[in-house]
Amino acid sequence: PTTSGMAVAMSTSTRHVAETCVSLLVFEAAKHAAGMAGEGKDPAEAIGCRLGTRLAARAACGRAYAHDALDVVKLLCKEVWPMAFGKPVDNLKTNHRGVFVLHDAKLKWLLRASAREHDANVQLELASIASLVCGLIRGALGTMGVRCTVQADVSQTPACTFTVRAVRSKEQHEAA
Amino acid sequence: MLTFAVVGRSDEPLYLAELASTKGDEASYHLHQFVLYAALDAVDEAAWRSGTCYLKAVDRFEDMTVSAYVTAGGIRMLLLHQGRGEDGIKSFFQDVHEAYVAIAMNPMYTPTEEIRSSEFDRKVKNSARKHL
Repeated sequence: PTTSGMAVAMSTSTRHVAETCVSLLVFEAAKHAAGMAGEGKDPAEAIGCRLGTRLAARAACGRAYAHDALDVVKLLCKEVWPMAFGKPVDNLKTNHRGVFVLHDAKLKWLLRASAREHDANVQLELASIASLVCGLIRGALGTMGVRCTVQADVSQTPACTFTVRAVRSKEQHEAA
Repeated sequence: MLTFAVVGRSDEPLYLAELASTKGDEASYHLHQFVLYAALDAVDEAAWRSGTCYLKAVDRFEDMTVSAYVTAGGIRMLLLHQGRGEDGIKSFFQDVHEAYVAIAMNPMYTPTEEIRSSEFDRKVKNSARKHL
């Protein structure tokens, strides 16, 4: 139910939802997931993953099959990111060997969560939101054929950096 | 003769429909399915070589042709026909892709699940009537 709310709220068709509603929904989802965390699984990441899968399916509609991991990541940065956060990614760096670093100076979901707060609960929720976005990236890239792991750095909110390490499955396939 | 199939990323069958009424022969129905699935290797090969979604005719068997369309998410759509126009087939695939995205948005749907939606079925059949 949480993911359905998010997916509908982010639809680009004739339905509109107030942005505040989406922000509140994100917070509640993160808080709920933070409460469920610590069982060895990361529920926020899982929610984000399912969300990312759907956003990518939408973004990929009508688009050609992307062979290169870089093309897929660019699609994420330019198409999926605006769907979720209202603007494309600010900066993308790669070492051309499967590692991509996405940097966003002002992530919408982090605008009201500060890394400078020392309250443990706030930190937990912040980590939960970061997991949500990591999951989103992993799900979106996964749907488009790039399996990867994602790590977040949210110490400078609202700026954030995500490091994506792609598993080199596509290159292996091509060589086969 | 017009058979349409949607196949998932790990080759699982997601949807199958006979869009034109044939002789109603059980054997020919199975043959159509067989030809479609046998064409999957050719589809993968063509997808790697081409950069577009619509792959046109990827395989032939006797007088039947298999045309294919791949989505960026790795879902394959296959159409078995006997010489329909390229433009019509392309429009049909695009309509079905949009209908598929609508199904994918459903949080209760997982990408490996069979598509049982009557809405999707209706859209596919309408599009087939319109373009093919």
